[in-house]
Parts: sequence; C-alpha cells; structure tokens
Amino acid sequence: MFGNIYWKYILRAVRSRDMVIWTFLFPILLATLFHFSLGKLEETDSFETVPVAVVQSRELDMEMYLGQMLESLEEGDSPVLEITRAADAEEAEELLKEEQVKGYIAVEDGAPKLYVRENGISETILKNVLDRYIQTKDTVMTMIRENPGAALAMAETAVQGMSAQGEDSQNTGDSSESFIGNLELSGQKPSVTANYYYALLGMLCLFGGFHGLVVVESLQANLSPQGARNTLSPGNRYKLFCASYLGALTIQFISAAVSMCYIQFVLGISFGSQFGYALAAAFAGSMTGIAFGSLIALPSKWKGGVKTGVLVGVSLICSFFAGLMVGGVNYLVDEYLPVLSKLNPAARISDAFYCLYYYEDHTRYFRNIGILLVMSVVFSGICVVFIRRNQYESI
Amino acid sequence: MKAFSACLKIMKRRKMTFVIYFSVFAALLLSMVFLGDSSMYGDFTAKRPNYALISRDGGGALAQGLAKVLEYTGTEVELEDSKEAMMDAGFFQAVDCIFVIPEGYQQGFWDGEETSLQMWQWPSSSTGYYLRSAVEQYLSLIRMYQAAGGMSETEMAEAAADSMELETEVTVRRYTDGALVSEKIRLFQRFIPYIMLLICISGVGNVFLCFKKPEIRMRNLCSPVRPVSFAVGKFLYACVVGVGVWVLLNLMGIIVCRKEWMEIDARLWLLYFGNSFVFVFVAVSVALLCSAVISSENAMSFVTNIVSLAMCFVSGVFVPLEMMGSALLKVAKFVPVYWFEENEGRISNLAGFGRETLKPVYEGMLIQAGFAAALFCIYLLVNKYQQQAEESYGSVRTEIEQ
Repeated sequence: MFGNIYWKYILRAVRSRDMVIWTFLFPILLATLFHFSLGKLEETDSFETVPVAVVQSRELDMEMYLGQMLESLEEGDSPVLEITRAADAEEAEELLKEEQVKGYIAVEDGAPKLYVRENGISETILKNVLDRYIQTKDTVMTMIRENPGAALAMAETAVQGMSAQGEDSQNTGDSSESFIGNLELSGQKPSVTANYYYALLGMLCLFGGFHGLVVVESLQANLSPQGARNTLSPGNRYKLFCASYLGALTIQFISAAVSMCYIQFVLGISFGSQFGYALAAAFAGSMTGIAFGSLIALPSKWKGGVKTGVLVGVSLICSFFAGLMVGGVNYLVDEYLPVLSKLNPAARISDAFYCLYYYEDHTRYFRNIGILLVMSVVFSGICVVFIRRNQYESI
Repeated sequence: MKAFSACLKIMKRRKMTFVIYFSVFAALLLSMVFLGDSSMYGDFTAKRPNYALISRDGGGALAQGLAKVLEYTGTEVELEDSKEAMMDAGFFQAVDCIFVIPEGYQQGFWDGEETSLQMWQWPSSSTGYYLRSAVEQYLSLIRMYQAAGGMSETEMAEAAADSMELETEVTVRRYTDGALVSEKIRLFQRFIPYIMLLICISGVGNVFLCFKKPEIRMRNLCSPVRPVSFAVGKFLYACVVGVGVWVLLNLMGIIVCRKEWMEIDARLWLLYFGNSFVFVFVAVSVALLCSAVISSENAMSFVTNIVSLAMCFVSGVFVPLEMMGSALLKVAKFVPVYWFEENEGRISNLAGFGRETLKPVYEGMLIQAGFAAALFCIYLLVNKYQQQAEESYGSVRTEIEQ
C-alpha cells in the first residue's frame, strides 16, 4: 500500500499542470529574470576612473605641487583621475552641467575648491584627493615655520606618500610604499547577487508547502472528495501521510535539484565546490517546506483560500527576510533579531548555501541543516498526531 | 449590477482571505521601506562608507589616532573579532572595509619596521579606495612628522589626526530648483507597484475563479443577465478593489511617513498620488487578464507571484533603474511598471511646476494609462474567445476531477 500511494502521488503531481508549473517553471523563470536584472549589480561599487575638469589659471600655476599631484593621479594603467583642462570656470561649469565630468577643481583665494553636482563616491574621491593635498601642504608649512631644517626630509616623505597612493588606485596593497596589507577572509570572491539566488531557492523550498496542503487535504474528509475516500479506507493514516509526504518530497527535491543545476551550470552562480552538500541543503529545505504546508493545512475549518493565503504570505515574508528582495536584510535580522532569523526556514536554507560558497568549514552549514531537520520533524510530528485523531461524526 | 453585487458577496464571504493577503502584503511593503537601501538618495556629505576597526594591539596612540581618522571619514560598525563575524559583515555589505591592527603593529610602526595594517575590502571597490587612501594619508602624515623629528609618538599621532580634519571647500551645484524628497517617501513609492499588483491579482482573481466553475457558468449563461452587463459588473468590482487598495496603501504611506510628507510641496502629493492612481488601473487590467486565463487556485498563486515579481524585477522596483543594463532597459520599456518608476524619479527630481517641466510626468502617466487600456482590450478579447471556444469551456475542471 505504501509504495502504491507514494507512486500515485508522484503521478498525480506530474500530471497536474499547476504543480509542474509551480515546481519546475517558476524557479527557472525567476532565476532567469534575476540573471538579467541583477547582472550589473556586481559592478555597482567597482572602482572607475573619475572624470574631472581642472580650471587653468595663474593661481593654479602658483600651486605647483597640486598640478604635479593631479598629473601623477592621471598616470598608470588604471588612473584615479581623467583630467579635462578647462580654459576658465564657465567652460568647467558647462562640462559639469552636461555631466561630462563628476566635478571641477578651481584654485580660488589660494586654496583648491571643488564643484560637484550630486552625491556619489566619485565626488567623495575627488574631495579626498584635494583633502590630501591641503593636509600635506598644511603639515609641511607648519613644520617649515617651526623646524625649517627638517623641511626637506618632510617634503620628500610627502611626495613618496602621494605617489604611492596614486599607484595603488586598485587597492591591491601591492605598492612598495603602502602601509596597508590585504586581509584574506575567504578563498571565494564575495558576490552581491549570489544571495538573491540562494533566497530564491529558499522560497522555492517553502513553496513546496503547496504539496503539503495537497497531502493533508487529501486526508481530511471535509476538505476534498479524495479525503473522504481516504478516511473511509482501512489504511493506517500515519502510513497514508508518510507515503504522500515522501512522494511530495521526491517531486519537490527533483524540482529544487533541477533549479540548482540551472542556476549553477547555465547562469553560472556558484554553490561552492561541493554540489552534493548543496543538494543535501535543498533536500532538508524541501522537507521543511512540505512539513510547513502540511501544518498550515491542518485546521479543518479553514477554507482552501485562507490556507493558500497564509502559505503564500508567510513564505513571501520569510523569503523577504532571507534577502530575496532587498540584499543584506538577512544579515540585519540575524544581527538584531537572531532568534527570528534562526526560526526562519528560508533564511536557514539560503544561509546553508552561503556557508557552502563562502566558508571553508561546515560547522555552520550543519547547524543550518540541523535546524531545518528539527523543524520538519516537529511540523510533521504535529501533523501526524492531529491527523490520526481526526473524527468526522459531525460533518 | 447583479454581477457586481455577486462579486461583493463572494468577497464578503472570503473576507478572511482578503484580510490575510492585505495585512501580509502591507507588512511586506513597510519592511521594504524601513529595511530598503536608502543610501542612494543621500546628500553629498552623507556619503560615509561603513567600516569596522578591530585592534589586536590595545589602544595606543596610533590606534586611537586611526580610530579618530576613520570615525571622521566613515561610519563605524561594531564587529566582534572573529573570522565568522568579519566574513558575514563583508559578504552582506554591512561594512565596506574591515581594518585589523595586528598585535605588535604600533611598536613596529614607530620603530620603522616593515609592518602593515590589515585591511579587507570588496575587491576593487571605490569605497575601499576612499577609506584606504584616508588611512594611508594619516600614516604618511605621521611618517612626515617622524622625518622632521622632535615630537613624541602621542604628539605625532594627534597632530596627524588633527591635520586630517582639514577639508576642501565643496560647492554643490544644483541645476534644478525642486525640493528634496525624503528617501522614505521615495522607497515607499518605489515598492508600491509590487504590492498593488499582488493585492489586485489576488483580490480580483480569487473572486472571479468562482464564476469559472462549470455549474456556475452554465447557470450564468442561461440567466436573463446580458453578457455585457455581466462584464461591466465584473469590471466595476475590479475597479473598486483597485481604488480601495490605492486608498488604503496611500493612507498607510501618509501615516507611516507623515513627517516626511508634511515637508514636501502639496503639488508633489498630487503628482505622486496621480501616478499611483493611474498605475492602479494597470494593476486592475493585469488582474483581469490573469483572472481570464487562470482556472485554479494554485495556478492563481503561481501567476500572482510570477507576474508581480517578474514585472517588478525588470522595471527598477527591486534593483534601481540606473543599475540595470541597457539591453534590459530596452525590454523594460515594454513593461508598465518601468514607466511608473521612471515617473517616480521625474516627480522626485522636479525642477519646478511649469507646464514644460511637468510635461514628461504627464506623458509617463499617459503611457501607463495606454498600457492599462491595451491590457484591458486583450482581456476583452480573451474573454470573448473563452465564451465562444468549446475547448476553453472544456478545460475547466470539476472538483471531482481535481
């Protein structure tokens, strides 16, 4: 009987157009969409040469070291600045207005001034370049006044320091004069977009709850004709539940595995080097999702629409807090509401994938899997206890 | 109006479902507004990258000076000294840079040894360059003082940190004279299409599903109600849902961001509300079209999610338009949500309220209205086909078959 019901559930799921769309097409469609819309997100903060205009004037010529410093920042394979020399302030203003430059520099009243049109890291870098100049100049001038003998040694150190920063625009820390070394945290490169895909898989596993709704409704006499038939049959309800649950798990896991293969091998989003572990996380997530759906389906007085509403709503909220719609939300929740984060199955699933990708050891990965397994056992246990005691004298 | 009152009755009987949908989606909208990335709307001085400073070498003069300089340059995020905490904070962009002062670093630095400060940053990032160059500047200033001689370590560290407070004068040129709109209002406006689509499709689709049951369809077809009157009744119901959602969501927005709304020009209120009002008819048309092609509750949930997420992901709701590739932007122009988001940007950056300035905003609204009309026409066509096609009627499955 067990095998028969298990197989029948799989056949039913495969023959149901809705289920096939939900479990196979939905994640692939969304992942493809993510691929196209998130593609450029990785480059958002990448360093780019800043276009700037410099107003040519007698005052600029008098600030000899400023000109030298700006020229040094214009050199190299990946220069910090791309300088356009403007004849006067009006020309520079026009360039700024037409957004051909991020800002323009003019020396006024013996000091460099910066004109920008908006906020941005490029504008902040321009300000930082000029800050460095006036700070160094001020320090040298102060020391010349107080200790003229040391002025030459200081000036040499200042020039070395500035050119070293210009050389190291790509932040490699490889410049010979750099005071800063690189700190390696992981063998993998961090990714802005990876967690969106991990959260998507978390949502997919939670939407496995639709299978859970079907499993339990087919065992409740007042909710479906099949439920009435099953309740009348001499079969053990515990076995009926387990067989349907395993059938649902098989379909849901295949769907998750297909989606993961698509995400890794077609879209190129990595789950780390151990794909087997990633599949195990998807398996545990699928178990939790189906058990969660079964739990929602338990109240026999709730109508189908209410149950679907609760399932969709809770799954979307859990996915949001796992970082599906706004990147980094999962980290914030984990920092400020750690208990809520630990109890969020979508966050645990995406965190398990993240650990596989970014971590070298598996301690946290197994902790996530453990939480998911405990959740699925608790949810399924509650379902079994309530389903086997259901009586229908008053239908 | 029989169909209209029937829809209202069904809605009343399913009020629990509607309350659940609305509460959940409204909560989702509020979470998005409060947890969304608001940094893109700050002013010039607000650009302060997040960093963490971990000292494994105690709190000497150099460490204190570094802390002072970094505090001046960016925003400090407290981080525990563990690899796991650093990895998580870095990967999820809670910090842009992590500085670690290694044990024995300060003494080594003062002695002129080849020792270096450790720093993690997002590979080749601008924020990383900015913070790195600030720290490099601080350390090079100290080296200058060292080269000059005559000062103690504490004096050098303090003098260099004080020098770092010297700033260039920056003038922000504004070529527009519009008022700055709060980032909270902008986030609310940015996410509202997603929630409108979700609620409209669920609210309209779940009620219209009842009319698709074979016994109800047969009963309706032989009733003395004209098909046109039936269609008008259903359309009216969809509009009532749409307008109701628009009123409730905007009321919620005003209550949550009342201080921010009070600070902006009243004409901006009208433009924002007008923009979302036009969009709600797009949402209603999408909902009608979805309800015409769906025949089961499970499929309804699928379509609600895929349609709303898909339309919003390609149109700048979750990922700002300026971060999207040019090819995708070309595709996005065929999605009405794109025009809503584009209009939101235009309204927020308005340079005045003259006819010429407002023209692009009105054009954006007209394009959305055009999309709503086009989608409604497609709905009418599909509806007509379904009434005539035998196959379409046959595809409706009975409860027993399910």
